[in-house]
Amino acid sequence: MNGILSANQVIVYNLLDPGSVLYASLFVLFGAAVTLVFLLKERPALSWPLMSLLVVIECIFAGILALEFSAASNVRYTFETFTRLSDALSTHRWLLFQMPAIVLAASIIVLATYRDHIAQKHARYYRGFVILSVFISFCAILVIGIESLV
Amino acid sequence: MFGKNRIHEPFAIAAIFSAAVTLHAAWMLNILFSRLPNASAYLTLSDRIGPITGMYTISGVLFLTIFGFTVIWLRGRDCSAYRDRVFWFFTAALVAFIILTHPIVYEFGIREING
Repeated sequence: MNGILSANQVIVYNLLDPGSVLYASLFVLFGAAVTLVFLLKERPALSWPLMSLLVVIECIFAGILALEFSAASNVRYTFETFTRLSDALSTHRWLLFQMPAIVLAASIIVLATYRDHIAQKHARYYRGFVILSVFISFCAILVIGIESLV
Repeated sequence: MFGKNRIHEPFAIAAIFSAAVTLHAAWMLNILFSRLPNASAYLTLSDRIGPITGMYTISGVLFLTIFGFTVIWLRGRDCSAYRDRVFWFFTAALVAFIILTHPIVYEFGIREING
């Protein structure tokens, strides 16, 4: 009978894979970043925690890339057989992965430049850029996750 | 370098502009790689990983180069006129990247049918 135990077994396999652990932590951190970014206008003091969070996210991106490039997570592939659709979308996932890394790096520079002044009226385009970057990066991570499951 | 109250706006403008240019370069490189096998082979830095290594390297180098040159070019200038332009340029680059890196779009081709 397939029940919770078999589902737990899948979770254990994923917890053994460092790439999956880092990827799951991205979701948690992005949840916090998306919440903070929408409060920037009302509470400009949040720019520092948000910037720190984005730096951590960027480091995790670098870690995932390093793991994928060094093939340290290849053990995972012996347990799974990819469907044809997932293989076909592999290139798209790799392409999509570089977008959050680029726009979040730019967001970190903008936040480091503007700091608490990001809530001022003249900085609305910069605030809009940070909001758009974080939101679109979160969407990209979601799409990558969904595509890898199909 | 970064004073508490002084805003170094050229850094912010340069960051957004370099991100936009890098996104444009990324979708162009992807089309180039998918259409020209020679270009793909030429820019493959690691055979095990594939042409994505060349693309990531070019994107990183391009981002840093454009950022550096834009900061130098904007230093000491009034950047207020560039704020909205650079933001909309970035938005256009983002939309272009999302649409043009989709497999349905970049793998599109017209095949000749011989009767």
